[in-house]
Amino acid sequence: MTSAAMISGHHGCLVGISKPTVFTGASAMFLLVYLALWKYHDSNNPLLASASSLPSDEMRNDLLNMVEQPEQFTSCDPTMNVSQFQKNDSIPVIYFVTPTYARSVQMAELTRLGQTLSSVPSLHWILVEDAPRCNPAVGQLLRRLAIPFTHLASAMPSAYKKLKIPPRGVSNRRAALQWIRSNIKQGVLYFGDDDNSYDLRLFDEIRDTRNISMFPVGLVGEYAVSAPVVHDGKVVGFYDSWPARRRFAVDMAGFAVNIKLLHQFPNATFIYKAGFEEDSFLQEIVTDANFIEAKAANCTQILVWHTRTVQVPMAMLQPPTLRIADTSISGLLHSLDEYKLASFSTSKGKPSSVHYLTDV
Amino acid sequence: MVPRAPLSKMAAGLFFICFLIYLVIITRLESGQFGTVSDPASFSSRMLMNHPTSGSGDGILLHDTISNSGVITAIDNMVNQIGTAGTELTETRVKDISNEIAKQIADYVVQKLGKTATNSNVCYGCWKHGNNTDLPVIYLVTPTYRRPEQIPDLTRLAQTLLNVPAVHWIVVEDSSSLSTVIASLLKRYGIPHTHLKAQMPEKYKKSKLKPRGVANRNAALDWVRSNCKSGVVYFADDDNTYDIRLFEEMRYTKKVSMWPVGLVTKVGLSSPVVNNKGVVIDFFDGWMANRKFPVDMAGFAVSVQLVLEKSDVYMPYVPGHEEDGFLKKLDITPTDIEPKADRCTQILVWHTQTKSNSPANRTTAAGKRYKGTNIDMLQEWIV
Repeated sequence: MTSAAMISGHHGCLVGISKPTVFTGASAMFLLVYLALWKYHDSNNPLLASASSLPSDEMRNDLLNMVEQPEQFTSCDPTMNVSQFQKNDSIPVIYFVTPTYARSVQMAELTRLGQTLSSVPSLHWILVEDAPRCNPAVGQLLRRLAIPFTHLASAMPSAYKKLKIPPRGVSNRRAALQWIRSNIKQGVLYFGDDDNSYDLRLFDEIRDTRNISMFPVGLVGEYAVSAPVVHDGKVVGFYDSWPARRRFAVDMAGFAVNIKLLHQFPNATFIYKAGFEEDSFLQEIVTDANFIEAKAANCTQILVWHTRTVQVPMAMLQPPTLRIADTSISGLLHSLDEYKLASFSTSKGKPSSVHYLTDV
Repeated sequence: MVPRAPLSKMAAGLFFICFLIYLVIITRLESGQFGTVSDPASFSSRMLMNHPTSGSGDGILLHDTISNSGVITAIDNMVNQIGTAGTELTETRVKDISNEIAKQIADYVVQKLGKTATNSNVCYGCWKHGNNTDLPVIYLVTPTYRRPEQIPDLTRLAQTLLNVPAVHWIVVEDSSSLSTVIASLLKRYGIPHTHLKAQMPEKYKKSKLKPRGVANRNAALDWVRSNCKSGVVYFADDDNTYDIRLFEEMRYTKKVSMWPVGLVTKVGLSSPVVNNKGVVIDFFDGWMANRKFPVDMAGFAVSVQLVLEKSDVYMPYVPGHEEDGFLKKLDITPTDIEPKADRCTQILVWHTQTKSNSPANRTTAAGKRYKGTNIDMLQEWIV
């Protein structure tokens, strides 16, 4: 365009192309390039688009009101005695907060996570169900594993369920924070989702957290890891494929907090903004980045992985007709129902049948 | 007289400048602006070195930090031994020297006091059981192959097995060489184990539906036949979820035992059906496919005795029919099957599958910016 202008005339006017056209052309090009670059900038993060847009003004007010109210939750096992740890002050207790929700793989996930946690001394498992009511099967599992636990139920407010990407686990973690603030004076807080994989050495690392500790999490994002960058023993930045203008580009499983900070900052909590839960919480409690302790051998080891389990849809079955009565099938179908692996309906649902051994 | 510049030229120039400014803003945002690191934290050697008393070299003030002259002499000796001559005394060097002194002191204390201290600190991250039990040993056969999720899956399986007594874990890698990472994982947990490798035969690698894990399991059967006299063999894939109660159910298997497996097939379950006399009469499975034994790999166990008796029985290289083929060749009848898990009414094992991740993008890590940092070192662990 510039060269065309130079060639066309030295009197300062272009031959054949009018000024308004040029102006429009330039603005249009600028706009196009701007949009293209903006899209590229955003394409790393599919969440950014939906996270920053709230539905309507009234809903926005409703949501904000909900954020300010204390979290509504149910305690599923009020008889649990929380004071059992307060006598032994020498070993800091790790409070392991796990949000969980009902789906076909839930019992499997909680079983294997519980079996890992049962090897960890001085650990208190806070399991918060995303449900309006407590699931007795979950309570049974907790009692059988004999890990000190707190079992709560706190459902996601319905307004958020309609969002394209609902912020999962927020109401659960908020409930856990509230419970801890009301009942616990000291210890270490760690958020452990039910489908991650935890190496037992992780618990040694976080147990002596004085303020806030951070460490690498494997299988997160395009770099296959999300880790603090450590220089001279200090955290100076983050290696994470989705920085998204977060101050702390970390995964929920990549940090641990000394509970004294929860009391020091009594209003610090999680907000309902998918993708930004960690960052918003940490910004409220981390006043000085120098207080961040780098764990896992100066963040060179991976001791926790963001594994995810393939979702198996809950089978919808018609109960099988039985040629032979009084078999194990009825007890088994009851287990399926209890563990939410299948739901039963005589009208809808896939017909199911038993296969008879030919040489019975 | 200054000629007026053409409007189009101005527009183009203005556009170009705005574009440049925009680019600058975007790159600055993407480079990641985090809070600037202010003064160093309270305890660091830099802080100590900046402290007025230590910088002065005044002998009296130095003695104020340690009152015991014996200690001062000892530390001076250690510093001389470690050596400061010839090296530039940077903050890092001072830290190294301090660490070295601390290590020597710790070694001495442990040696001197450790002998009398009672060994009350049992490792919690290790297998807690002895090898001297009378319990029948469960030989767990786990085929595994290299992928990003391999180590986390093996980690959580190992951590489940820490709770199981009298177990011997046979890990068979689908690889041409044994992985050092897996070897150290096995050693760290202390579970009795055997680490083998076996590869899928070439002719099957090209087929659309590969018979996965067959060569591995057959290699394990060979090992069992050469090394074991009694016990139980169980095929445990590395991504399933095992309730520890399952192992006690299968331990006393005489020939073949079976139980329900959750989350498998479209009905969410695969299980024998048991009548009120405790005999297996049917199967409930979403994929019958003309199989005599429509069961999942995780749904049965075989006694070592039977494996030794039928010494030429192996799993067939037929995808989907590995279990059925193997069980048919063992020549068992339905009355031979021992139903477990409360007569097959409980689910003690689930066919969970870990979502696969694409290989890591290492371009950023390979850059100059992260050279020599912890990020560089982390790449070693990333698949």
